[in-house]
Amino acid sequence: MISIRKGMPDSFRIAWATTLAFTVFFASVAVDLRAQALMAAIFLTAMLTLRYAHEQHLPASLRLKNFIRILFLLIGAFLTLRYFFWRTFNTISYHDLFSFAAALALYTAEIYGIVIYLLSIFVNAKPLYRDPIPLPENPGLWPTVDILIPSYNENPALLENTLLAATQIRYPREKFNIYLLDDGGTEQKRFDPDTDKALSAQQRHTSLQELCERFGIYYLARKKNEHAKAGNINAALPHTGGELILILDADHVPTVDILEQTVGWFLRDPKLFLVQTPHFFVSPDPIEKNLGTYQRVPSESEMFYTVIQRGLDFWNASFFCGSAAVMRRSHLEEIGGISTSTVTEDAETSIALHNSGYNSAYLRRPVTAGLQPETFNGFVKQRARWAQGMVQILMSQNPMRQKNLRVWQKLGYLSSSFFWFFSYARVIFILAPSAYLLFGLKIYDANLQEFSAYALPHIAGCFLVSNLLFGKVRWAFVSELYETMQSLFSLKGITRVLLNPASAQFNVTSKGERLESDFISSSAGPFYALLLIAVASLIAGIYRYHAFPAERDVILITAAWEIFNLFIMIGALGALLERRQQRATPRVAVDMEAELLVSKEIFPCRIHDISMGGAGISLSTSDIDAPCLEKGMHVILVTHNHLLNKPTTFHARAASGTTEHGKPRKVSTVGVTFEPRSLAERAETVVLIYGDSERWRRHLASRNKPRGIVSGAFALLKTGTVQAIRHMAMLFLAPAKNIYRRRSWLKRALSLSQAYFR
Amino acid sequence: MNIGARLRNIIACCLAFGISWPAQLPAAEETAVPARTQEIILAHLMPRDEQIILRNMHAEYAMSIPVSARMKVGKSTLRLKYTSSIALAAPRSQLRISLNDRVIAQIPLAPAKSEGNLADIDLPHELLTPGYNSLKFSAMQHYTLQGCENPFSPELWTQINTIDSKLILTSTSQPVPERLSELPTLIDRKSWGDYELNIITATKQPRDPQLKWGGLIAQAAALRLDYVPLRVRHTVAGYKESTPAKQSRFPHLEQSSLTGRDSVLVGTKAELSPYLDKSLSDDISGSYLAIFPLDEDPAHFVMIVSGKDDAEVTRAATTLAYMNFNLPASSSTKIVDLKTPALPPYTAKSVTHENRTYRFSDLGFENTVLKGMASNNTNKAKLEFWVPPDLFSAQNSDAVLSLHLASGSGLRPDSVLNIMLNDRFERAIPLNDPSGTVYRNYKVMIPIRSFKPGRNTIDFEPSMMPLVSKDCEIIQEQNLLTTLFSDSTLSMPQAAHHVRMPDLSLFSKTAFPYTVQPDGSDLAIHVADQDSDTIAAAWMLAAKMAQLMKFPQPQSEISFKASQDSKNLILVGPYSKFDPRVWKAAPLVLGAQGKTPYFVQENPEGDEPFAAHAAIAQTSQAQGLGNGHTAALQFESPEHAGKTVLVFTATNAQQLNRGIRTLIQPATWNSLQGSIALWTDDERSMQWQMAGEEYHVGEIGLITRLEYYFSNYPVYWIIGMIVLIAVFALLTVYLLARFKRKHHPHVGNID
Repeated sequence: MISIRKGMPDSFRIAWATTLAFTVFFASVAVDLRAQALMAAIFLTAMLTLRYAHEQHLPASLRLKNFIRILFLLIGAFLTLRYFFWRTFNTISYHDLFSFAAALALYTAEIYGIVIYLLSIFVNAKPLYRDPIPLPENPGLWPTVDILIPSYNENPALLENTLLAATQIRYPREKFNIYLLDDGGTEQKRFDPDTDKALSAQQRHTSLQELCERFGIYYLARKKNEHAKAGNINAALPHTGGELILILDADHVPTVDILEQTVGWFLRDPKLFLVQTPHFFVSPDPIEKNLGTYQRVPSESEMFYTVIQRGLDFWNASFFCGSAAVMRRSHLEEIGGISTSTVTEDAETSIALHNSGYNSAYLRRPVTAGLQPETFNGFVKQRARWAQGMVQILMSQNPMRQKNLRVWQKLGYLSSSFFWFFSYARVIFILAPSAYLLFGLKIYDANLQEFSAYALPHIAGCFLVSNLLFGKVRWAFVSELYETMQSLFSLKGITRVLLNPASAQFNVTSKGERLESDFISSSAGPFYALLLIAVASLIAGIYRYHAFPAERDVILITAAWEIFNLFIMIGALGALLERRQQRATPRVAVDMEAELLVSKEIFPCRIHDISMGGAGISLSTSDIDAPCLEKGMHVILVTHNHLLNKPTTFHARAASGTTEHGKPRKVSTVGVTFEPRSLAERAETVVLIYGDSERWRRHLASRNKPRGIVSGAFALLKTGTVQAIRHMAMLFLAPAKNIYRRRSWLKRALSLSQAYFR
Repeated sequence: MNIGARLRNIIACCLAFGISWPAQLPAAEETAVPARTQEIILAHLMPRDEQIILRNMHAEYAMSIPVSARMKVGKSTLRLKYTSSIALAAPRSQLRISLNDRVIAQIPLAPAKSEGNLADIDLPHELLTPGYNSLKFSAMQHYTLQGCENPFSPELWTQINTIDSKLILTSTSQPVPERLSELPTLIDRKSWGDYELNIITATKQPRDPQLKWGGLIAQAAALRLDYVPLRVRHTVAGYKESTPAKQSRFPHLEQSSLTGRDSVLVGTKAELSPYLDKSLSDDISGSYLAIFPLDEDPAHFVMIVSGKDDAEVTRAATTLAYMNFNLPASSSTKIVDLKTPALPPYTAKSVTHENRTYRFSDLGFENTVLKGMASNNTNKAKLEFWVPPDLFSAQNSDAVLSLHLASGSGLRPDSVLNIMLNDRFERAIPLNDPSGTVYRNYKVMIPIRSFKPGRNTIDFEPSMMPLVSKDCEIIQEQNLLTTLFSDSTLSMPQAAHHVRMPDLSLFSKTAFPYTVQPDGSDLAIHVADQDSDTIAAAWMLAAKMAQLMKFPQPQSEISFKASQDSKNLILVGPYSKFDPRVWKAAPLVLGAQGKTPYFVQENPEGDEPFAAHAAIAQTSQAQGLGNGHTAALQFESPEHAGKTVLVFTATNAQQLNRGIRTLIQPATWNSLQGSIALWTDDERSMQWQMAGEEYHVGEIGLITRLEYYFSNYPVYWIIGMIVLIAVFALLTVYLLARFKRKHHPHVGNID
């Protein structure tokens, strides 16, 4: 136990800085390969041991567990520093212009990776596990809240859920107002020279006004569409007066406890400007959807919302993510509202407020349910905007130059913004092995022994660290897959921003689209090219292996790297086969007791999935006692709504598939389509489906399960390969099928093969 | 201007002022010298012992036959033993022997007898001139008399047995010319066999200055012999009554024991006058050098190194050591003054220092054109240079060759220029452009640790094939050309001077650490016995060190008394004569209270500290070396940390002298290693082992020091790093906890 006397802490900081300096210095000292290899082997063994102890919760004391975690991270960082110094001073030399350019490009990409890795260790050294703070018993002390829901072109049906859910939030009704900020119905839109557009905007304006009136919500539409979403919110600020502002995207349906969970922190800390909550999605992103991993694999966004934001929160650098966040009006107004100079207005606003000395908090409680973009194109468009915005921030609001930010906040923001250069690194990592295998460019001056002693321990260390930090929320190689798939598109956007920072534009991401059938994404072209390059490179590698025996060790390393790239490409192709999606609002898996009223008879049942459109039910009776149902038959479903503490009644009709030979038949499972008869019924439905944050928490917990590096990689590879085969089958067999569809034998063969692939 | 040229200028200036032309003395009388016959096996004329194998359709091997100007060559015969492949077609296959490019014999290569063929070839004596004579074996080999054949067929070979082949040479010795400028031809490495020199002092009780003079004279002789071992005898001048029958310069010098070898008479004028002719004695009016034939053996000389006092004799001896130019052309000279250059540490011929770039021409390399595809041991370009013996750098530090070369057109794409470092293949440069290749600044990286301490050789050996080389096609060889230009460079990386000791191999290769200061100012030779054999042994060692460095060490201290200065020490003498304190740090103790380390098992964990390199059984026992063994021990000076003590010892002075004579033979010398070496009078009897405490020599910066220790003791480095990182982690955990308490007091500690 360390006893601390007054004045000692500074000594600790000096000691810490000195130890850091010594560690970095010793990491830079060149040693013989044998010594390096021995060190790497011992350190990796130590990391595996520490990881085991950490995962098995062997140390009883929290302090010891923290020590093990930090020691593990520092050993990983040390291995990487060793690699960095060796890579910098020993592996780059001039052979010829092209080789040198390629070598520098690769080196730069690696340096990017190392910087991000070390920043990531810093950011996530001690994630903050923040709990909600209960509100005072006297509601009179609760602050007033304005709920702002900016909208641009979203489907009114989608908006309806969010608006309706907002009205059901558990908070004194007189203490909060709801505002729909409609940028699709502005004067600029309504009086667009294009009469069709003007008419459409006018219709939207009118219908949403009516909707808001029905729901008791304020409708605000400004004159001009300036500064996109940020401008929309800023335009609303003078028309609102709540102490706090809850911002929700149009597709982010809030739970009933969203304010109960978040507002308490504002009462505790007067300097708090933000409580951000995670963006929880009830629909899969297109890669999850296309690979079919949504139910099994943690969502891509989970790494950020479960670990990184918590890590940033520790350093008081968690930032506003545009929605599902509560902000303090006074602080926001002090900086002139939401910042508008970049397309990621949220992070930019956070920097400004942190720079003004205010605090942020991140509460990992899913209190909204949102939708992911349905198509890969929409997904890529969204990510490209984020990348552009963060690069804009790095260029115009460089966190390292913000005077009032503390150094840890600067590093946090640097990590968040610099990360988005991954597209450059990924593209280089994809092309670099081909530069050698196809063209013989000398990009990495090292032999197999050196690579094994320096690079492999560094890579292994990175995987282990990554697994410890993010293992529960990110399977191995998922990052590689997502980043690679985005890179080809976001690199273009980043380059444009680097050349002209003002070129980025705010694009609204499409949500709630229906995909009627499977199809190959229009973005697949570059991936075919990369796949061909990878295959050609491997063939060239086989040739080089025989033609250049002296280079075999380098060829083996590069070929292994290319095979890894090939696997990523295969996964990418699998994810680029867009699978149909017929529901605009996704079904949510539940397990609720209910009663089904059919022709005045009551049947006990369980609801196993539910959406705003309907539900799937399993009857608890035997087949003999089961009701006879006919498609379209009117039924009533009653269940206890624990959030409202009263029964909720759904008027519904039996869905298709319940008849046999045109006659009613006894069934044990049934689908029903809701036909709400009142606004109250719709509101109760929204509450039942979307209102329970505990359900979302459980849902996340069921997905966020750790998976070993190897088994995770194999599972992903297997899924990706199956989907890639389907992709190729569709690419080649569908045209063939069209051409020869009249030949019965071929049709049979095609049917068989398709059946096989499915 | 290089160091050699500078030295020559300095000496030339000194001599120009100091030369005196003595009165005409009677010339050496022409005396009939009996002819003598010498035999030398061919292997001894080659750079290393190996068999000559001539492969392929056309192959050549060239060697040099040294002939000293002191010899007048008579009949000479080459007795050649060779074996040819049984596949050779007799009428077309032949071995051609050329001497100085003149064909002297052609031998048909008939299918061999299993024991080989023998041929005696007379070498025309008029072709064997003083200097190096080129003897070339050219084989033209065919396996078919008609039709086409593969010029590289494996059955095309002939082997010349270099052990059983010999050169038999009959010669008479030439009278000694009375000119100091002839010294290079008198003390000549081209003499066959070892050279022996008498160093004669004139007092019964040897003095320290005489040791110094003898050392310098031995170095002077050794430098002229280049790499040929110098045997030195020490004798005390014998006095005899004058015989006025014939005029002599040394009327009172007993000469009967001096015949058959060259001698140097060294001492002050007062010491030497009793033995000299009066006019010669009167001529010694300052530092004095003179050369005359021995009265009783005019084919050998007596040099006089003298002066009025010790300092003048020292100056004369030092001048003799530096005289490497053919001046003065007189029998004697007086040296008025001598200024020696101040040489920086690690000076050596063609030395390459760390962090410097050298053009090949700086290292004595000239533009070299390599021709043809024939196997030929001379068809290679050779770059020789010196690497400081204690160079240490990180494992991945590379020396960079930046080559400027051009090759002819019409070369087959598999043509290459092989680069060999000390006979080990390092890299190949493709000469694969059929229209000709020109490389400017072609980079070849060679890890600095691949270099040997001391002399290194990089050979550039072409393997060029013509583009048209099918059966029955005329093969064009004239285009098979590669030129390596002397403006190519060698860049040495950053390195430090730091080395783990003891290591006798460093001494054998470079005389390290005694030659770090090239003038010998850091060297003290302590001669433990005043016996002539011991003294000669010390001189031979001093001469050998000068040979290794290619220049003398005039500032070295050589004394019968142990040096009190902080210097590297060489201790020479029978072990019974040593001060007992010597054994305090020695790995092997000889005598009644002896201690012996016995090797048990090599420790496979080579990176453990030095003492653990090998498992050693240490015994205490009375022991000696017996009659027949000589030992060398190296260890850190118990009195001066970082300084080295090197002991050469034997049971008695005679054995020690014999042992050192054996040691300076290349086979023995090159096998010195470890910290304890033991050998007999047999040249190949060297045994060695590593024992004793390690120590380090050299200055080193912090980072390089860390690199050195981390590389050599990785376990300690790893333990140190684990401790450091653990402390770092502890401090980090504490500071994170403190940060949390300060900034997030309301957040619990739930993980």
